[in-house]
Amino acid sequence: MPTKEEKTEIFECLAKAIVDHDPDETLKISREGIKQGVDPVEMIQKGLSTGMKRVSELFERAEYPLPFVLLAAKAMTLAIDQLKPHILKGRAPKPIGKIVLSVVKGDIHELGAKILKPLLETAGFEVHYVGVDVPAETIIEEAERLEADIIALSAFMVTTMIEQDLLIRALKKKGLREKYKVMVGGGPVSDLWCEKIGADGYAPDAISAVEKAKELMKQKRASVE
Amino acid sequence: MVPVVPLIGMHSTTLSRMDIWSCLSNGEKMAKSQIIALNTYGMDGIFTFMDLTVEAEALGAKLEVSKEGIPMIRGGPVQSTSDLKKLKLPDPHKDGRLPVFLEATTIMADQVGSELSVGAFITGPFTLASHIMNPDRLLSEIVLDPFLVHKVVEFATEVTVTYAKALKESGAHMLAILEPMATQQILSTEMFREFASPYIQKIVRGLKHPLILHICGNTISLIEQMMQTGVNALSVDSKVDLLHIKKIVGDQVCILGNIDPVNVLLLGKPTDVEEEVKKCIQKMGRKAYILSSGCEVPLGTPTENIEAMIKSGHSYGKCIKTCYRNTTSHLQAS
Repeated sequence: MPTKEEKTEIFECLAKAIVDHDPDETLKISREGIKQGVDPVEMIQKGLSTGMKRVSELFERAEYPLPFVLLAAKAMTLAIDQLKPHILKGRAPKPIGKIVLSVVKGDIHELGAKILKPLLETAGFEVHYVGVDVPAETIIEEAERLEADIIALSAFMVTTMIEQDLLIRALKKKGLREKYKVMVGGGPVSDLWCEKIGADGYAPDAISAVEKAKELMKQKRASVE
Repeated sequence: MVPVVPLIGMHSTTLSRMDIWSCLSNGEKMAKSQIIALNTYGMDGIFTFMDLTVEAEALGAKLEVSKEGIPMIRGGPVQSTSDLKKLKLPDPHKDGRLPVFLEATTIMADQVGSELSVGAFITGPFTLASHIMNPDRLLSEIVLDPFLVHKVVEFATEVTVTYAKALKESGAHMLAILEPMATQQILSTEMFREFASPYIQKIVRGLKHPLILHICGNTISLIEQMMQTGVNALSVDSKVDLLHIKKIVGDQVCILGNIDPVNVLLLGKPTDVEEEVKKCIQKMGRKAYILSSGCEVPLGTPTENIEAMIKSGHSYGKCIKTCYRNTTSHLQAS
């Protein structure tokens, strides 16, 4: 079994590899950790997530451009995929919430969604990415099937923003509005738009979307209790 | 004095009641729709439709047209250096819908060019590169294979210059370079310096024609570099404060902007628009400034809002139409 110091070093190296936006290095260290017998769940929570948290802080201070975020997120996704099969049965942490993430109908810009997915996963969410150009009906069906907590909608164009509005209307019509928190994002989307269509939250970028999702989850829990 | 030139593209179909895709694929229809908007609104300059897919399509990128008639790129033609070698420079008079935009430009220049400035859009080299290669791939390669990125952007520059020259010959008085992928929310200032700015400078040198550089989103940390490219005017989005911009650029370069297209033009009322117009002109004064929208006027914008923008722009900017409708000379005077 690795000592406490050895484990701490692995976690730190993983965090650093993520901040260095280096997929190869991240995979190498997580392999090394498995070989040494470090718990993969801890590697995700104390290594990869710590790295991603630092990435978020740097991004917010405008010290970390988007191409770096994109690669850090890629490194994160690859490492999680590599670690997952090693998680012992019953040891997988319970997700803090389920999110159905989609780019709306008529829109094929998925850069934001691609970055957001691994960020939400590291924060502890179970994320189902439905894809691009998805009609509101399909997104709602997916949310129903998966018993999701949050529906997250990305629209990159002014012409497709309206789909966010249509989805909320469709939820209301089906009597499902109260069942889900709906968050909206994408280039032209704003606080004002979010308010106008009656969505639950808006985030200007992928990093702040993670905080918004956590906040919405808290609200949802509070409303159930 | 302050010319008023909102970036009106497909919004004109609200007035002309024409189909968006038929305008985007037929130069005569596009020009007709734009001239209808001009005759209704009376702005001080007109452009072709804004379509960032047209160059990539001419290079063989896969195009998809939405139900509303809006084209999108789905799958760029280049994934490696060898793919890039296979690409040929498009012929603006033959390939894809490039001839459509040349025709629209010619017609607009013929019909209204003697009274006011006619402009056309070209896709910026970095943005075109993202369409040639797919955005996430291009951004990843900035870190993994910067040499490949340079090659793709270099090629995109040649495409842009070729197309821009044809637009100039078709009678466009001014060209606006659209470079949304190079915004500061995506690129660091160092990345902009390496992958965007040198190529925009190449267009400036290769074209020698009035040029506007438009970058969406927040661009405050890029403004000095944008100015140093040598373009005649910078078009800035609503996310930047004009006072801040003015402080940096002074009168060295003409500024276009920046009424919020979504929160004010699309979602606001005419009184909100008027309020914003007043603020913009107060901040910028009347020299080296063109009142415009921060980005393209969204489809679905109430026509009253555009009417309010132009009316209040002219009254606060005390624009005497006959003298000051030449937007191009305003660009070059700075």
